Amino acid sequence: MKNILHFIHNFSPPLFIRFGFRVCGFGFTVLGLWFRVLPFAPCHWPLLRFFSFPFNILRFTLCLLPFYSSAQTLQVITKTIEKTFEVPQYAKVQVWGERSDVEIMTWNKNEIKATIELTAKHPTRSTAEKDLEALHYTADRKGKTVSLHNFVVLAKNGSKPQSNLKARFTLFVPANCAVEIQNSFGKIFIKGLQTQTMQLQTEFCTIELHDLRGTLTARTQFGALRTENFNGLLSIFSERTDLILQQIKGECRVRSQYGSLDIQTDKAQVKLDVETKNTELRNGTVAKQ
Amino acid sequence: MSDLLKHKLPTYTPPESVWEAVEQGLNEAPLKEALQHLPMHEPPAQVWLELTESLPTARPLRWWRYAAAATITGLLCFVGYVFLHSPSEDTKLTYSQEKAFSSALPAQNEAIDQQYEQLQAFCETKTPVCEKPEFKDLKQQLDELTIASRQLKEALGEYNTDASLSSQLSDIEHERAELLKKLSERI
Repeated sequence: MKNILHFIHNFSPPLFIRFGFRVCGFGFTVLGLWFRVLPFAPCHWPLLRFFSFPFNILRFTLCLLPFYSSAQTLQVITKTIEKTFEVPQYAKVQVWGERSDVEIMTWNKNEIKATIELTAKHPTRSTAEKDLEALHYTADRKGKTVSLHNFVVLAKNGSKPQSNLKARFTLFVPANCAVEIQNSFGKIFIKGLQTQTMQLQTEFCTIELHDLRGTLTARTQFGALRTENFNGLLSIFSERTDLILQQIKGECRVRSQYGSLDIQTDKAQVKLDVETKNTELRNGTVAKQ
Repeated sequence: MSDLLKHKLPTYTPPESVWEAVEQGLNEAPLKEALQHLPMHEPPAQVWLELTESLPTARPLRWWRYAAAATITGLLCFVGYVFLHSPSEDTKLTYSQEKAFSSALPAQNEAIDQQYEQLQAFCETKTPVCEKPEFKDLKQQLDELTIASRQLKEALGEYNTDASLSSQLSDIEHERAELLKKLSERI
């Protein structure tokens, strides 16, 4: 609706011209002045009723139909699973996602709480329901490691799901929990971890890292990575990724091909080792080419 | 002396059953003695075999019953263990609706794909310009981006609502167009 109003606001002409029937004829108004073109219509013509007040509302709605049609209504079915794992000190969480969003936050419990949302979107509800059955997940603990995984199982006839399928992992972990993530076509958000093992391997993902301490290694292809307030050893190997590194302390090693690199930090507090190839350097970022 | 003892010692009368037992013993004594003198005969082996066959057969041990009972007990223990030790799990299903605006779907630019196919066909004829290092480098970039574009389009599907993925595809298509322009300038 906001888009529609925006469209009307931008595209309504300043000189508003109306066409329509008046008392006895067809014509148009320009700036409120009536110009009769065809004085043929009798006053009692039932067709004129079409232009009465209730029908004005209908006309207005009909006029908006083309805009409404561009916004398709999708039936969204979400299966939500919550699991909680008791874990020892220095546990590890492993997320292998496909087209999934991963959000990791910390808490003070010796538990890993995982909320897994599997979603199917399609204009037809029955199709969405059927396709959701093809989207599977696993969530297990083996020793100190909790593994989460989502995947699509094709039907026996090999037909692909028609719906838009998506998984979302929302995790609460102890701050010292090691993290290993592999993902494609999704988003990753990590906040507050203090651990020596943070490993990311992504394709076409948008990554947001906030307030992290420790050692992080990221290997990215396409997408974007933004880190804010990092303290420790940061290693990034990126290809066609837009990198924004803000307020980093410690040691930072970047190997970047294509994409862009923007380092916004106090250079005195970080040891930078940056090598780039065909990468756009922003905000005075310096790198070996 | 004997008279003196007769008067001093107590007298006892045995119960009637004792006399009966003595009498029965005396009666059976000749029979027992005769039995000891009877001859002994060994029966033929066939008799024993027939005797064995005529005896009721021993009930076989129904081991499978014990095995089934043990299996069921084991299964019950396993299920109990799994329930007690598995992490808490809660599953629910929710239904909602969402508007998919066409703006979330990237504009299909078939012209880029057509130009790319034309370029492929052009370079298949082993035109010298396609062998130049600079051209090859640009072409390689274009190939990589074309693969990425196809992967993204497949991931987006028809009902994408993720604007960041659409934005990535738009960027890739823009880069492909730029590369095609550069390559066409070199032909």
